[in-house]
Amino acid sequence: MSAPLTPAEELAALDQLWGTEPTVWARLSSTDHKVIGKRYLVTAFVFFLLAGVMALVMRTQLAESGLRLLNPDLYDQLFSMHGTTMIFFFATPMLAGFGNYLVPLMIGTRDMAFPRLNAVSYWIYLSAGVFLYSSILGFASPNNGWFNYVTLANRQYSQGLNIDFYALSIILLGISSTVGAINFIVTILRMRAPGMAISNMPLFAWAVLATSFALVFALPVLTTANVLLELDRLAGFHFFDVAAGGNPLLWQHLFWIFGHPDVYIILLPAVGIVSTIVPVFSGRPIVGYLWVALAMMSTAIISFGVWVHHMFATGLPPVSLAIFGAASVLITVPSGIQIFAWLATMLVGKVRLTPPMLYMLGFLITFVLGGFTGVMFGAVPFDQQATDTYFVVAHFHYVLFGGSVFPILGGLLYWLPKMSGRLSNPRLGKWSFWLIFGGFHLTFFPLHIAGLLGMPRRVYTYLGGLGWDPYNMTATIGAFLTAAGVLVLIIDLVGTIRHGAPAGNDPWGADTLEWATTSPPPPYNFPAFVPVRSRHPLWDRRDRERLEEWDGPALAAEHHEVIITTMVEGSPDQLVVMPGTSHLPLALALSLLILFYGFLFSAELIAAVGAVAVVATLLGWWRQGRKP
Amino acid sequence: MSDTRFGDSGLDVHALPVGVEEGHRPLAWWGTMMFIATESTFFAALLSSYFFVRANSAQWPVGGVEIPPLGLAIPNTVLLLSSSAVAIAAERALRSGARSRFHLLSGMVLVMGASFVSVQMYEWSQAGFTPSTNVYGSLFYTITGFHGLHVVVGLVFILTVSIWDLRHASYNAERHLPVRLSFLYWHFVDIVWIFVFGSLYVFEHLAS
Repeated sequence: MSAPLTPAEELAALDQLWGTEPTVWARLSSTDHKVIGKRYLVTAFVFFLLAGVMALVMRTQLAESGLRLLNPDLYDQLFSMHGTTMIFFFATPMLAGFGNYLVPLMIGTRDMAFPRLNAVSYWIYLSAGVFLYSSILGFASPNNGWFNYVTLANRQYSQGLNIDFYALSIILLGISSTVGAINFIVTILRMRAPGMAISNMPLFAWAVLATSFALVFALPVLTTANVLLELDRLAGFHFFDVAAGGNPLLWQHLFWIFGHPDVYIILLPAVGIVSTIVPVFSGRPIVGYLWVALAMMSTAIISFGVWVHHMFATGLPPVSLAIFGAASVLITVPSGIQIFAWLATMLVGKVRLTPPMLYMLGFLITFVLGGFTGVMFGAVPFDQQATDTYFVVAHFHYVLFGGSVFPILGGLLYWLPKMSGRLSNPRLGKWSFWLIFGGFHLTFFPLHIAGLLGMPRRVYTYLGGLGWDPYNMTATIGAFLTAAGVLVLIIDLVGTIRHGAPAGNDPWGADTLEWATTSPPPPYNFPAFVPVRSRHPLWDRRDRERLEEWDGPALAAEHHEVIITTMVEGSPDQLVVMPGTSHLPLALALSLLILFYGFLFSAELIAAVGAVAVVATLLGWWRQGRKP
Repeated sequence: MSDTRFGDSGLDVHALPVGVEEGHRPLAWWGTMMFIATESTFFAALLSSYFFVRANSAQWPVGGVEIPPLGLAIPNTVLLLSSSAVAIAAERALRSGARSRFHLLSGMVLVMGASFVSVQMYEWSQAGFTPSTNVYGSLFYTITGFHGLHVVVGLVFILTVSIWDLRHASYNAERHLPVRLSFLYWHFVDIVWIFVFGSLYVFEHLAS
């Protein structure tokens, strides 16, 4: 071996090993989890804006009774695309973006366990989004809602490509999410910093772990449902065709076996963000760390036992209604534990009302209100009364907007200084919060009442004089206020990235490892693999000193490698050489895109070209991995 | 847990082994296991769909079609399951450094797997129904078809590592992770068949 490098030479060598050339072509091959994480965040935010604009158009149509801005078909496409985009292409990928960016930093390593697969996840996600949105070009967007019930979705009743765009894009996206979830699980279990026992890892990592396990077992069921549907539609099979013995309820079961865990797949990373931010701005460790971690895991498990509560109105036997009603009430317990943990943390701490913290409070209030109406649905007779009314719409927007969008937006403001190296404007942050918070409640609170008065969801207009008009006008005004708040937030984000004041390593005085490195972090994240022993390394005197003064062996600046640690204790196990940059992830995603367009148009030739390209890419991948 | 596990002098990263396989579970092993977990759920969902539709049908199979006979399926099952045993022997051979024995045995796995697929396709051609006959046909062909597809994928994995080793002599007693993972996948495919065979053949013949 050559002479030892000086620290400066060592950092330059690490930069060389882990960085990417600043050309477009090289960037397309990046496998850096921070680059991929940021791509996820930006892409998902764009989908958020697109679906938000659709919501505004719908609210405009519904401002007064009998308006003719939209025809029924366009309205169907809008609410279907709004729901599908928000659930599948915004909420889940946005949180995958946070996970990608933060998990390796928080657990003190240099990348995800499978960096090239990580790039595959992103590119397939983007491809699935492009695939879905290309439906707009043919005015053939999905028009059967985000849960796409058969028999309306059968070929017989939906002749166009609309439903095929939906089902195929969801299958494609499922590949991306599955690969991503597996990557998170292996990363979190085997790549934590030396000494970081699983019982000491950040709660955000717990949240991502619970979510990823739920994804691994929930997504194949959604994929099954959509595969069966496409076999019916494209190849003349009869799964959902009653005339040939098929069973339409099968779709509902499969969809909701996935669909209810999915609610928590969206919620869990968001509460992970809350459990990270609330303690920082309360100036103390979270109360009941272990309880919160256990609550996250048990939520993920119980979420698989409540799907039938979406089907209380389908004529199932009373015993199953009773069991699933009870399970639906049971699942509120872990959420309650977490809420009390956050409240206790704030109560015994000293709360700083920064913009991210405001968003956390907005989450708490909104989510608890959504939880209340959720408990109401656990009562079967009430559920059967309120099904398919605006009460349901109001409920799940409280849960999803409250439970997911507030933490996401607060998380963006919280980690922006780390990602951009710059501080955001607290005044704009507060304005955006109050506009979004006020606008949201103005929109959705009145819709509870409209729903109780009997207003059905998913209808493009309504009759006047039924007492629904004032609630609808209020809701529309609220929607535009929310949009104004989002606009202020975007101005804040862009302004910060362009010319915010330098943030320094740790502007918030936070406890987790991502704040121990520079803002933005270098490509290799940390110069060295420093042992940590505390749950709150930066609040622990000895961990902090070690992190600041570490001049021990910076891990092998001559190799592209990381330390692997044991699953429970986090003891150092071995070194593993990580794969480098590659264009094959992008090639694989493009090949799959061709294959899926082949399926869409039932064009054998295009599908064959896509399939051959997929196999060729995988073989190329194999060869690339074997090169010395 | 001790606070001074690494001392304050720090940990000696250079003393750690690099990318060892024996006695350790490499990252790729964990990834493959999670992949198998998600794939198993896919088959569980397909078989649950089968039983759900079956339980809610007045007559099964729908429209009085004939369930495929056991005469071919039983020997075919024996063939597939014994290929797993051969795969175990092949991996053992590689671990003990007997490379030509490894090549012979993995070749045997390939032949057995390919025969299984051929018999399955012959059985399809003999069945008195197609996927579009009714929901029973759809379920039968979808479940056996996806299983068959997984067999083919497993064969491609084993074929690839075998050809690679023949050409480059890349694997030995210490380093053979791709072989290990390909066989792991092969065992998964075989275990899934036990459930498919048990549900679509054994159960149906016992029930009728």
